[in-house]
Amino acid sequence: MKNSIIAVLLAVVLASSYVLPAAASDAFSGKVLQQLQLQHENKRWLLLMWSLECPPCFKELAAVAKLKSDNPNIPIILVNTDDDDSMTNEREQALTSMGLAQVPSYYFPDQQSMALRYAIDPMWHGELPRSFFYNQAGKQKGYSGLLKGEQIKMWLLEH
Amino acid sequence: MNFNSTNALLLFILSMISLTSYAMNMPGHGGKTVYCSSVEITCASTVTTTFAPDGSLWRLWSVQDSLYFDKSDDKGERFGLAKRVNIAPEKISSRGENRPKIAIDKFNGIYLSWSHPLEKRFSATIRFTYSADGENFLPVKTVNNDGLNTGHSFNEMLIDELGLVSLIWLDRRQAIYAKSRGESYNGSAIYLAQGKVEGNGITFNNKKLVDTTCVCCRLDLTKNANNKLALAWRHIFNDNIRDHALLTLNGKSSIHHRFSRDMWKIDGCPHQGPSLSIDKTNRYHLTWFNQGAQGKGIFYGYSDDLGTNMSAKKRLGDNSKQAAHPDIYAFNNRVDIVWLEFDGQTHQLWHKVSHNNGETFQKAKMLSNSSTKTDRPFIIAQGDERLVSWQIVSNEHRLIEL
Repeated sequence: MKNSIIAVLLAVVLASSYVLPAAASDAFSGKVLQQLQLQHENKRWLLLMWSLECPPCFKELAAVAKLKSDNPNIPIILVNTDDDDSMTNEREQALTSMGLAQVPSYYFPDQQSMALRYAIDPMWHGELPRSFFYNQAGKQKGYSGLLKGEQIKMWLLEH
Repeated sequence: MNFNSTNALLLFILSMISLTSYAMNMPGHGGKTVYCSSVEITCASTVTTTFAPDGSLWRLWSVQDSLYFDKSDDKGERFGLAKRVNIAPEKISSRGENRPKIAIDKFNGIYLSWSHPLEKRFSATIRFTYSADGENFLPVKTVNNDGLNTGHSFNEMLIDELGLVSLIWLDRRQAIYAKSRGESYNGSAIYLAQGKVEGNGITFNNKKLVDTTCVCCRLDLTKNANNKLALAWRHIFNDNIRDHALLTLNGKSSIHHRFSRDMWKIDGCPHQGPSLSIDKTNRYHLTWFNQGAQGKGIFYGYSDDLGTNMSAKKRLGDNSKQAAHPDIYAFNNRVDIVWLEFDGQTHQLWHKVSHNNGETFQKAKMLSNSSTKTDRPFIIAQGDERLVSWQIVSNEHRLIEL
């Protein structure tokens, strides 16, 4: 009897820890951006900015999750712009529940969103979702508003 | 396995389960892990400030699922002890443009409204309470009457001389109704609720004012020279053109007027709504932010016919320095506008003033700056008294005389 209880409980533990890999974003900085640019030298890649307070961002995140599951190596990097350390848990939970734990993810550390926004693109005023397309030459092009999965796919995979 | 080791294993597994469920039970949407150690105003992300009819100045903020307020009788030189609003703790939206509101009547009765996030992402209810004495508050009332687990947020509130409470907010119920009909619905609707505190309660009706508005930008609500409610918001025109509109509730027409034509096409969140102030001649003074094909930056314009025709727009601020979040106040031919800029290192509060009712403005001046994160600025005014309320998050709440 007791052994079967143990088996059930073990299963519960394993299941609950297995459910979804948990997301764990890293802090974004100018240095991180440089590293990302180096990592993607001579490649197209996409930097996607999102926030917990942006409903359309979640549509975009869903599209990214789908693309990522179909193309695990698709070069998409996520950056959360909420700029509030008290929202850390909520942010990671959102990424986890969207199935995005495996997508490289960063966040703007508390107090730094304006400086980082300015460093990435002084003409970006915080509107979301915001995408930065980097081409093979390392040139950046910003776009404000929701991207469809097809648009991302075409730009990253079918050029 | 003997009895003791079995029990030990059971204990271990149970503790693993409780640890796992603890880790998974982290705060949901709107939940906050407490980082700022006190409930002081400096810990708040947003501060809402208002003058009472008797000239006292009141501040409202939210920390740790509670609302707090304090009061100054000398226009912000000194404030009395902060008081916690005596209601059960609940999550309160208080970031960016979605924040609690306070209004005070001529008896110093306190009216509060806020958006209360629910578990489901982007769902919330509009909440209201009132206190005659600052100690005892009415049971909290949910203002939206649809009972739907969907978005109700960005509340604005106005109280008139007779105690009529008017609340407007962004409401997603029409999107739910449309979905049930198999149709699509872009954006939110604006709803109006009105009611009066009577005895120990208040009853609100709900009325839809406008369809297809931006879902994440603040509204502005004020009264015009004829004592009619007037509101301004970011609307969705045609294919996701996010320009601005205004509506006067004068009983004659429910037609809203587009007052910006900057053609900002974005299927996304600008996170910036307009600001409206109406003077005694019934000139509607407006300021707004856009990044459209026909206009990028902060703009000012006015209308003398409820928005049917607009003056030529004037650009304010430096768009290359992130000029954003303008707020406006017009009184006796004077028009004041404040906004924020950022030069890469410093957050700056800027001010421009017109002494000929918006025809021309003097050169912009920087009023204050901060090296750390700030809230949006608001002009708090009563007649000729004008203050800017500017929260430097985790640092200090500044009140700057204009």
